[in-house]
Amino acid sequence: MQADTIIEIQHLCVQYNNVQAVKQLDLTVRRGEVFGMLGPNGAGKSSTLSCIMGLRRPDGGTVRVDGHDVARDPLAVKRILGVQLQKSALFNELTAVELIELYAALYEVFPTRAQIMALLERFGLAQKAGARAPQLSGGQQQRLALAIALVNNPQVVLLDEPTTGLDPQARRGVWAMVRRMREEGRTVLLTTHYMDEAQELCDRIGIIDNGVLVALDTPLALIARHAPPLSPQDAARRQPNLEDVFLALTGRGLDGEQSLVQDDEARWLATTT
Amino acid sequence: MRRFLVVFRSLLKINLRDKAALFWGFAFPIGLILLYGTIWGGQDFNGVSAMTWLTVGVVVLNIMASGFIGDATWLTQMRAQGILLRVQAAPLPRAVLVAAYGAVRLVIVLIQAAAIVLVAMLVFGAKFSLSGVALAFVIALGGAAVFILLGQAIAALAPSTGASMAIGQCIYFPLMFLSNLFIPIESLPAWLYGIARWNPAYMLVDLMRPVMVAVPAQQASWLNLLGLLLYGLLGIMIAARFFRWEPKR
Repeated sequence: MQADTIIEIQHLCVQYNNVQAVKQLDLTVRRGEVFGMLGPNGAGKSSTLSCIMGLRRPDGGTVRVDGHDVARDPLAVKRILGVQLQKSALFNELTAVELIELYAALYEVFPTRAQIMALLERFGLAQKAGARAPQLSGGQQQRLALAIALVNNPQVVLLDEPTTGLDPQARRGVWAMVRRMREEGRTVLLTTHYMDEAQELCDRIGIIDNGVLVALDTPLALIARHAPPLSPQDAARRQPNLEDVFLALTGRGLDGEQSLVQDDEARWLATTT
Repeated sequence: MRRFLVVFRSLLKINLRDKAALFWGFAFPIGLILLYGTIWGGQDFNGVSAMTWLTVGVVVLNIMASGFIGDATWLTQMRAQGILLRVQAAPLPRAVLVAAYGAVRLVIVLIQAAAIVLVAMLVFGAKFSLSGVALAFVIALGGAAVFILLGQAIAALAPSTGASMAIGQCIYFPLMFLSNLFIPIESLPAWLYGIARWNPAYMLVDLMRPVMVAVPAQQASWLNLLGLLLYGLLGIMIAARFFRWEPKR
């Protein structure tokens, strides 16, 4: 494991019944970067994240976080991870302050009331300290989930589709918080199926499709390498973007629609990775 | 220890603020006491005041409902909402979580039992000896632990919250009538009694009633204790074997 690598995934396989969700995935995430896993629903992003979090034992391969093998020492890994799950509700009966207190205790962290308020303030929720989860908007609930992800001052923050279902304003609010996490020196690994989000936030992006890593690079490099030439009409009104890359690499959009574009290199990558 | 206390306090708040749980845990059994008291308040059952006899049944009914329906449904709901998975993502030893949860449920069962007994005593003059009530509460705690474990077993097996509630009710309702809780066991046909005496609610009420009320037990105490122990072990085995942090994919 290289010094600047904080997450190292080797030959990861995840299987559900007869479906292979992740196939021999190799991936490294560097310390301090925002790394995006981009792919359609069912691509294997959340399964990969589950293995990193220690929520699921891989069916093959290894996952190491800061030198700890997740399968062998999940508690050591969980201590340094901050986690926001895609489909996780909050206890409806607890207030924002009580939720922070509870989740902090799960990590053996016991913040003072002032520290809890400072954390809520940072996420723009100080006014909602006494509100219960159902009294918060979708965006506020997501910000609270992000605040909870930081209760243990983690080195690595894992965010599973942090902006799904949010309105554009709330999405931008989440983006600002992710950027701040990077400024603080944390590593952020996020999954998303929003191209603009990946392009806006991530230092590097891994595109995953059908459980296979089909490309990995910076957003600009991915576009430069993989985006097909635009038609004259398209070229007149926009620049190539990650969506073009995705279509070229996978042959379909994030909604699963088949594309007419099929990059030979993508097919080659898919069969060799 | 501090971690256990914070988790315990949080789970206690969650349980005491849940309106549906409050209704079924407090309003419903106390409503039953009021209803039975209105109907049979002045009568005797088996040589003791009807309300004294029935109150023990309501306490056991509440313990049974708490396990078969309350615990089973709550756990499957937490699993369906992804809350269990989020807790699993934290470095919390499973033993701390289970201990805090069990302690909260037992405390709540005790509060509910105390409320039921108090209402029966104050409103309808049900009479229990203090030492008998104290011993009965110890038995109730053990019984509650058994029903919590059986509730966990249902939650572990049920694929969804709806299924969990349906399974819980399918077990709860027949047992309610076949347990000597409200319907004296003597009125059952012999073949049905032969089945009923092996159900956990019957065993629990048969342990508690002789302690709280001056009536003899229907079968040997050691048999009731052993039966409850075996039901508890069955609950642990199923819950441990089939427990899932997230819904089936």
